Amino acid sequence: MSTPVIEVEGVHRSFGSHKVLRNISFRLEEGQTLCILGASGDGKTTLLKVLMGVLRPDEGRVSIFGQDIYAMSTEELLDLRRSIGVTFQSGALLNSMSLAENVALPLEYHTELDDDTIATMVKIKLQQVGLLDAADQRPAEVSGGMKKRAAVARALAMDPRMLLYDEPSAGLDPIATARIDRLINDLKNGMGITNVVVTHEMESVRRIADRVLLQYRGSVLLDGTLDDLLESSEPRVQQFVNGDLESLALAPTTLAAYHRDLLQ
Amino acid sequence: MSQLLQKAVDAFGRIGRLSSGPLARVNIAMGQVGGIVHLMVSGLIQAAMAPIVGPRRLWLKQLFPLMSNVGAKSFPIVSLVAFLMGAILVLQTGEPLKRLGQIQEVPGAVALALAREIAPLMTAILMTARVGASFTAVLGSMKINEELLALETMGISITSYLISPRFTSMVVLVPCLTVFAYLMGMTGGALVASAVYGLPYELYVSKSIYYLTMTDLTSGLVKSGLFAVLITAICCHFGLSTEGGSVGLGRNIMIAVVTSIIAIIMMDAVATGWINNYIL
Repeated sequence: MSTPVIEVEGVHRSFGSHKVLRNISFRLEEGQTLCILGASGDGKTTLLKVLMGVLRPDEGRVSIFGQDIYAMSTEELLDLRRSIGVTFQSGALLNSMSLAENVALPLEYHTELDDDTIATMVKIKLQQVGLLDAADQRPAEVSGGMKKRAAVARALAMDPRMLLYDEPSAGLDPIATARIDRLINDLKNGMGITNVVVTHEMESVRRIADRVLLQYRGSVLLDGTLDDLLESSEPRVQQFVNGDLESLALAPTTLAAYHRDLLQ
Repeated sequence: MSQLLQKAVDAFGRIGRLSSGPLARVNIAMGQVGGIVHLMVSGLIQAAMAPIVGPRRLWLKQLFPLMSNVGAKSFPIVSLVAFLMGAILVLQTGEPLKRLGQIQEVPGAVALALAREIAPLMTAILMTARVGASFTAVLGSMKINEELLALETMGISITSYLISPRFTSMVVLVPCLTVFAYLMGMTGGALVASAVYGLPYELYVSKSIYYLTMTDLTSGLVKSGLFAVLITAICCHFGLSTEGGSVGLGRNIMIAVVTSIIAIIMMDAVATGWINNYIL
């Protein structure tokens, strides 16, 4: 068995008295796509921030490429981050710069390459995500889907070994979502990039996932393959997969019950 | 060095978490002071090192627009206010001195007040409102939009990329603006002294030069450099620590401006006392 790219052991994280992550453990092999699933507020983004190295867990250990990221010095962590690309839910592009300048930023900061080489590399990255025509536009001038693809291009600038995505298809139409999913698959199949995708879109999960981690109230409810998820007989898993609102514990369920509760 | 400072700041924070009630407020304030001092030291170190090591091209790309904003775009308002301050000082000192038959001493009084106090203090307060507030607003917006987090995850140091060019532009240009403010104040004073009290320009200039010493000029410049460091550290700190969306951003801009002005006046009192006791 090869060395896992990500190894998480017994991670706990609380905000005040609210426990967001409870005893999270999992491993991910190189060149796979892991989808972290769960309802809103179940701690998916918190787990992603722990993996980014920006949110120290209260307990537990997080290893990326075999190195414990919370035992590293700041300089070592900055070095490691060159091998990890991150895309945020909002894109988090720098609004004062064009898309091309956003993509060029990590290259200008981390390398001594000349301007022409950087410009060529930026064109290649924008071409990869289908945004070459929008290179000179600013983030405010492009659509949500284009922002997210530009964020992927920026994350690819340093040729990372792993990409972390926070809800890449949130708020996008089905065509834009399919385009992002195809991009994630192309990066995995063509460049061997390991992907970690936080999402709650089952359609995307079916298209891209090799492995699935389903979180429920901060704990891991399921850690397995896509087939494990789809074939699980666990009611809460089925409920999530099928979007089964009938079995959700929503109370009150009727307007009369709601009025009664309100008056009480 | 930077890590040692961070540990000291964390220690402040731990004390804050241990206490409650009024003590907690004191400790939160201590934590803020720790954060400002940490940013001041690390920002100044990075600003000193940036022209020699690190991504110089990117640093320069950040520096030039900032210098334009801090220097060229602030020049008109600083000049206008300084000109009017010079004119007002002549009017305020002119009447009592005229009654004493000492109208020819007006230029000396105005020159000393402008060089030692008015020009550096007024420039610093204007720069807090015009530039410091914009530092807090820009950095705070970047924090809210996760742009700072994105930079961090790309391995880009926020201190080296965003803070150090702000320190450089302020430390270089605020003293320059103070010199311009001084000259504009003198011009305003000379015009009013000539128009209202009939003092010839030659007399105004020669009297000003007669009373001024090099220490008066350099003490004003040193103070303006210290004010620039304070404004940058405080306003950048409150920008980076913005939380709570647009409401939090508005609150932090207000706190940054108020804290900067109080810090400037406290620093002015300390520096003036020190200069009067040990230099003059």
